[in-house]
Amino acid sequence: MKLMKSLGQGRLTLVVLALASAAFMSVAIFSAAAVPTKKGTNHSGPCGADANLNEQVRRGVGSEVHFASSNSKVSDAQVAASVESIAGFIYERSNLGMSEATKKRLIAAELGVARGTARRISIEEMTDSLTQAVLARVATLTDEEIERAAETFTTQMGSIFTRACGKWGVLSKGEFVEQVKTARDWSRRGNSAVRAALRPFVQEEVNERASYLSHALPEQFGNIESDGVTPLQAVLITYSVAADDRLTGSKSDIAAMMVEKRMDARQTRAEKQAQNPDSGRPYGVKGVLYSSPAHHLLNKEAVDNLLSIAEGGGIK
Amino acid sequence: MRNRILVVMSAVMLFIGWGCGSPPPTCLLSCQHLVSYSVVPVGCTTGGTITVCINGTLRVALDCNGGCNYVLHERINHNLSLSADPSSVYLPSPPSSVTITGQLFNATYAMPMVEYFDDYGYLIGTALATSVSSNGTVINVPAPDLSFVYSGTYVVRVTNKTSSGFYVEVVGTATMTGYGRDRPDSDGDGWYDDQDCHPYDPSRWDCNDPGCGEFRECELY
Repeated sequence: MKLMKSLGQGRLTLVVLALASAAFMSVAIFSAAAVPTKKGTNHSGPCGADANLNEQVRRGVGSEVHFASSNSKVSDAQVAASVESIAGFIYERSNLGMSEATKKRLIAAELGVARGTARRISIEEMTDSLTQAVLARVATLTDEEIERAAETFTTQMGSIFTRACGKWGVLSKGEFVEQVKTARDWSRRGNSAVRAALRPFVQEEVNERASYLSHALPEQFGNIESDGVTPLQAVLITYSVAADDRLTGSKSDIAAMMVEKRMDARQTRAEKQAQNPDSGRPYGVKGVLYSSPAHHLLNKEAVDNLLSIAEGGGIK
Repeated sequence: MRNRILVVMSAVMLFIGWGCGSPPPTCLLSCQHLVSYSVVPVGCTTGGTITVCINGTLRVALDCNGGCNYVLHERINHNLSLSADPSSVYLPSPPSSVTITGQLFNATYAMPMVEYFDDYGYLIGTALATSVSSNGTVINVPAPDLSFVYSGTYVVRVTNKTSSGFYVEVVGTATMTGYGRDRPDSDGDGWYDDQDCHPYDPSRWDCNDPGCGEFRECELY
């Protein structure tokens, strides 16, 4: 607390913003890339109240992912197929690959939840776990990783937007690098003020997803706000928060949005390759729609922590 | 479909304080909810951006002078389906001009701009219409340089200039098909040579990728 007071509330806010950015911020102002829902100028936006969000979610994760039944008679093969489905969904959207070890552990944990030998993860536990994951990851960032994260977030106009729509403000690249380094130092010292300040940001992101997923896909997510999430749902939500991917849009919707985003940039392929090539995926590092270093949050340690909760352990 | 007159909004911004407990400096521009804008900094060499208005506010970074001197041009997309003639082009012998049919083509402030994009959304070429019919339903436009273009489907987008002096009124798009020049993929890695910075190395394609990792294809969790 002394440290917090000595550095001032304003500086702490900046550090937390940068800390949150380092873990899961996206790069661009949401551009006019969204596929118009009707002729005219309406677009769906990541931070606004979208009239058609439920439909977009159903067209996205609701149709692209196969969820296994959660009853006790679910088979190993059904759960394995569900894990593969989500792993493929995440990879197709961000290039983040799920390891075979994680797949096996997730299958076992999902089966455990269905059969009563493991438990669901509450939204609060998930928030605590992700907050801890952010702090742990930031504490181990190297200077090079911070520079690369800054590059990943930086827009064509040279600034860094907190989340896809900049809802928590805008940082210059220099401010971002400086503040993340400060955050790293504080995290290494286990500063509790940073944890307390960061948690609401993570909570907001997790709660938002839990809310709209439960409304859009009640069969799969209907009870998660009260009963918690399964391990596989936790991984999916973690990815969504990490990449600021709202899990909306079918493959064809996303492909159309990427084309439209590139068209709005009005660059030739050669110009794009020379300046800032994209990954060809919509999200993750150099994602076409939102670029973010999502791997800093969705990593083995974060998933291990979530699984250990489901398996009966606590947050490491 | 609304037929709105383009509104040019001058920039006016609220500047969020940089003091105790405040978020970092951000220009907050008043705007119409869920309408997209071309946001152009005044007196800066850096280009503008296209941004969608969320809850009546556009959030953008400070401009090159550390201020919020932006001009917003409401961007209209009529999103009409247009048709191009010829709709199919033999690439080794392309036409010299293209005729596009639709509606709302407008030469009041300048000839409409026509942009040609490949099926990934990358720009191939830009040209101004050479003529617009009096009822705004037909334009003629020079064909772009297609000497480096490969077989595939292409998008032709037509945009009118408005009273703002900017091309921000998108009329719509047409599609064209090019044939007769297939794209080579010399190393067979699934990336065509024109996409591939290492066209003879099947293990990588990205210009900045020394190997596994740049785009986190090897990133496992």
